[in-house]
Formats: sequence, structure tokens, C-alpha cells
Amino acid sequence: MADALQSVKDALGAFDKEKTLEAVNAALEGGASARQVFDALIEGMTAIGKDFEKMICFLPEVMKATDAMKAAFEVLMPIMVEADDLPEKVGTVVFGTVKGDIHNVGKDMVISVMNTQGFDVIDLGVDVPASKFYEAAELHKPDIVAICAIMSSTIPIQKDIVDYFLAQGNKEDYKFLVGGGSTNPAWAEKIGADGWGKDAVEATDVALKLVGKG
Amino acid sequence: MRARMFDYWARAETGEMMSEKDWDLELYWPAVVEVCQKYGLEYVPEEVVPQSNEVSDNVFKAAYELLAKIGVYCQSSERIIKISENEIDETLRLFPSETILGEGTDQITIKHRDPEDTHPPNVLARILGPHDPDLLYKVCLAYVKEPRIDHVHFQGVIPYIHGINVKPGTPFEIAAEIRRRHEVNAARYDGGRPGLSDCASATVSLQGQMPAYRFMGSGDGSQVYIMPHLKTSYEQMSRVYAMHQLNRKVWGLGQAFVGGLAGSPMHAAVVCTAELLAYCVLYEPTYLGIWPADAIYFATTSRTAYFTNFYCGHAWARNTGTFAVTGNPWGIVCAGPCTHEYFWEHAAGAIGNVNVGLNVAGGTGWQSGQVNGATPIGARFAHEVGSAAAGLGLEKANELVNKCLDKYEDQIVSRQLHKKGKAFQDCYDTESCRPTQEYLDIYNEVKDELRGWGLDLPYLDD
Repeated sequence: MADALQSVKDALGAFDKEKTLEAVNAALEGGASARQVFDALIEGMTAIGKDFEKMICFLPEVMKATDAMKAAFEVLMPIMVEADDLPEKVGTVVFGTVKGDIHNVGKDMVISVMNTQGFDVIDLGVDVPASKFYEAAELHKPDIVAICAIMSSTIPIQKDIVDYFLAQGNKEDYKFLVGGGSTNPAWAEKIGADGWGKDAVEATDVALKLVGKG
Repeated sequence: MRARMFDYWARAETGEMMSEKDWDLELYWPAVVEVCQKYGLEYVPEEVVPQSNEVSDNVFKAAYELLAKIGVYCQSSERIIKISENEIDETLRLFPSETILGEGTDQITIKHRDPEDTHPPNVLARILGPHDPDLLYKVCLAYVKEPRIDHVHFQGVIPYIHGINVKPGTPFEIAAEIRRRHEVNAARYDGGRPGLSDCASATVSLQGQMPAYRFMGSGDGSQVYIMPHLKTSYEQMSRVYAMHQLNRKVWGLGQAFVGGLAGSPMHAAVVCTAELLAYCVLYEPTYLGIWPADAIYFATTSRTAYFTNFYCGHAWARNTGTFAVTGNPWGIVCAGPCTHEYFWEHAAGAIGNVNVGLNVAGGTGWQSGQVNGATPIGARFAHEVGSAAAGLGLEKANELVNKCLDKYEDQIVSRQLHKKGKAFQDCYDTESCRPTQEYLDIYNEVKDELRGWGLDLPYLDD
């Protein structure tokens, strides 16, 4: 059993979706519970996250590992539902870069670190208007709405997005996390955001605190 | 050469279609890994400045093969622009070995620079990040009053105008850009250097930039991106075409994000070099830079970012005859002004750059993330140190760059370095636009220590 679970982690650590799925199925056939395999995947992903922060592995590899993990979850989730053995979710995040800003590097780095910490992140991409943030939040009901703005002149748009939720009357349903460029904690407080992160590591730490896991 | 641009751009309408994610993960990244493995290219942290010509030549070969194999991805059409080896070769054969910026008596010529070159480097000074609109003129004038600065990006962003926050694509963005151009022109004329080149790119949108074109000098220009990594868009092509049509300067840079999609520092050196090649083929620029940044902390002065910078620069200088490219810190360091670390970060870049064949840059602190974080003394210092270090050779340069890194690297690892420093108005006299005595004392302390390392820094210290 331990060997089978280690194989799951090894396949994930090789950033290989096909091998990860093979290892997951082999572990299940060998008698491991879906929850045990799930926990092994989370452990493997956490290790990848630590390597990512130390530049031992890199963004494309983390993105591939995330794809592999999500594919494995699709196999495991129905089994865990049937067994009534669902793991506690870390949290869901709706994440985008504001309208007018086409930088995806900062956003992608934060999402990758969040994924390694077990967050389910819905990536809205770049150049995202306030209404799209709102629609995505209403659809996915995330714990956190994360708003990235890199350029000095796109940072004010973070306020527009928070204001949009205020105008709709349900800002309090979500936690707002902002970051990027010349943002700072005072700006986050000024616009009514709940948290601020300078970089991928800090933003993820703050996100964990916002969902009570930090 | 410019007749070829549309030939390449047209391929964005006919090339193979692919999602951006598939480009990143299924085509680009495996190709980067493959070419690095083929040439045995690996990151050696202690050799932050390259110690082998063969390794740097292999970086260039790997970059050349990478671009010829995968091309450039157009985000607008979601198609691939393929570029052949013959087209890369032709571009490099025809590419100018000199370029001119500025006008009149302020005009400068940037020539090719060999790694062994003993000539003083050209220096680019950059003003970046948000600036108090009422202070921007003073900051610009301080830059104009630094005689060692060759050309400038007066790119201080005006965050609000008419009492409204400036956002892209709004009339406020246009108004802010016109205001910025007026402040820059006033400072250039008042300071007696009306032809000093400004190649700032302060607006986000092209439409925000266009109405202010009429205030540009003939020696000025603007930036266009090769998007990281190896991507372009119709927006970028439009910017290139606009600048060429106006007969103004076009500049851009390789900007590999180390640890991000560019991979390890060595992967990133290959990617950054390939981006420079792509830039030359697709855009035919007037000026070039490289700006690798650590993607975790967004530092241009970390060991990893400098490694990428120096290997890319060495590969480029040894294998092309183009005018010299400007290297990191590309005008942005992590520590704020009026700190010892601000100077050590500049020193590391200047020493390494001149010995691999790059030009030098300096100016803005705080990773350009805080208000009024630009001071020109960093660019002055980069020129002084670069001039003294030119011709030292790769081995000595590596030794000194490592010593510079020892002065601040731990604060990058702990992600604290950006918290130090003072704003322009707190370390410059805003009447004379000269540094305060406190700032000069720090500057002279670092210079004294560099003299102790054997660098000849004979200039007057204010």
C-alpha cells in the first residue's frame, strides 16, 4: 500500500498526467481508499510547492502537475462521495487580472502556489471586467475573490471590482484579496479588501488565513 | 528591412492554430527543456558571470534552434508565426551594429560591445513607477542634471489627474500622458539638454499614447513587447508600426521570468536570447535591452536573475554584431534609494554587464512599486562602476559580482529588501535637484569599498 501511494506521489512529481492516473488506478486496485490516494496527491503537491518556491521546479511543471492532480480528483471524487469520506476543502478562489491589464505572470505564479496548497482556483485570465468577476463569483461561490493588477494605472480598477460587489449588495459574501505592482496594505484597506499579498508566497499565506487555515 | 515585417506578421493569419495553454505546456516548454539538454546547459549558482565562451555559445545555439523550431505565438489570432533559420540569419546579417538615440548635441551613438571591451559603457537611466504629479518635473530635472546619463526612460506614471485616478483606455490616461510629456520636455529644456532621448512607455493603452505623439522629439521612442515567453499580439505589432511610421525609436527587451514559464536561470538565459532574436526578426528595433526577473520576488538583481542576464548578454555579444544591448538591473533595483543595498545591486549589474558585452542601467528603487522611488544617482553610479570594471575579464567580474551579492542576497531570499529606503523628496534637495549629504555619504562609502576591491573610481564625489 505504501509503495502504491508513493508511486502516486512520484508520478505527480514527474509532472505526468497519464502516469499519475495510472498510479492512482493502480493504488485503488491495490486496496487503497480514494481518500488515502487523495491525501497522497495533496502531500505530493505540497512538496512540489516547496520546490517551486526554491526554484527547484518551475511554473510549467507546476501547471502540468496541477492538471494531473485535477484529472486524478475526477476519478477519486465520485468514490469519496459514495463512501461519504470527502476531505475538508481548503477553499475556492476566483482569480483574475483586472480590465486593461494583460499581465498574466504574477497571477499565474500566485495560482500555482495556491494550487500546491490545495486551493481550487478558477482562473478568469487577464483583462477581466468587474462584471465578469461578479458573474464568476455568483456561479462558483468562492471563499475568496483575488484581484491582480500590475500596472500603476490599472491598480484603481481593483477598487471598481470591490465597488461592483458592493453595488450588487453582496460584497460581504466573499473575502477580497488584492496584490501586484505598487499595491500595498494601505491600498487594500482603503478599497475594502480583506487581504494583500506582495508576491505568490505571501498572497497564498494570506489566503490561507482568510479561510481560517493559516 | 522593414519591408519584411508584414511578411512575418501575416503569418499570424495563416499559421497553425493552438490554445495558449497548449503552446506553453505542450510546445514551448518541452522545446526549451530539449535544447538545454542537447547542449548540456545547467545552472551553476556560483558562476553567476559565465566562465566559458563555449557555454555561452551553446546558449546562443540553443536559443537559435528554439526559435527556429517553435516560432512565436500570436495571442490575438491564437496562431503560430513560424520563422526559418534562413530568416534569422538574414535578420542578423542586416541588423545594424550602431544605433542613434536623442537629437542635436544630445544625440548619442550606441555601438556593438565585445565582452573584452575596455571602453566605458552607455548608461540608460530609468524613472519608473507612480509619481506625485507635482514632483515629477523635479525628478525629471534631477535626471537631466546627471551628465553621465546618456539616455532616459522618463517613465514616471502620473496616477491621478483632474482629481480622478488614471485608468487605461480613458481620456484621463491621454491627459496624464500629455502632462507627463510636458513635464519631461520642460525638464529637458530647463536643464539644457533638449535632445536627451526619452523612450518612456508610460501608458498602458496605445490610444492613451497616441495624442501625445506630437510632443515627442525625433530622438525619442517607445517600448514594444515580445510578450513573455515568445509571444506577440496585434496590439504589439500596431505599436511597432506606429513608431516606425512616425520615424521614432522602437525598443524592447527579452524579459524571461526565472522560476516562472522561463524555467531555471539557465533555461531562462536561452529563452531570453531567443526572445531577442524574435524581437529583431519581427519588430526591427532601434534599441534593445534584457530584463530577466526572479518570478517569485520580482527581483532583477537576485543571483538567478543576474545569472540569466549575464549568460544571455554574453551569448548575444559573442554571436551577433548588433549594437550593444542594455542589461539588468534595467533601471529597477529592490532596495529603495538612500540605502547601501541600492548601490550594491547596481554595482553587481554594472560589473557583470560590461564584462559580458552589455551596457548598463540604473535609477529606480523599490522594484518600481512605491511612489517617488526614482533617483538618478543609481544610473550615475552604474556608469562609474561600469567604466572602472570594463576589461576586468570574466573571472574577476564573477568574483566581484559574488562579493556584491553577499551584501544583499540574504534580504532577497527573505523577501525583505524592498522595505528599505527613502522617497526622492526625502533624499534629494527638491530645489537644487541634487542628492542630500546623507545620500552622498552612503554613495561614497560604497565607492570607497569598491576602490578597496581594486576598482579605479577617479570621479569627483560631489
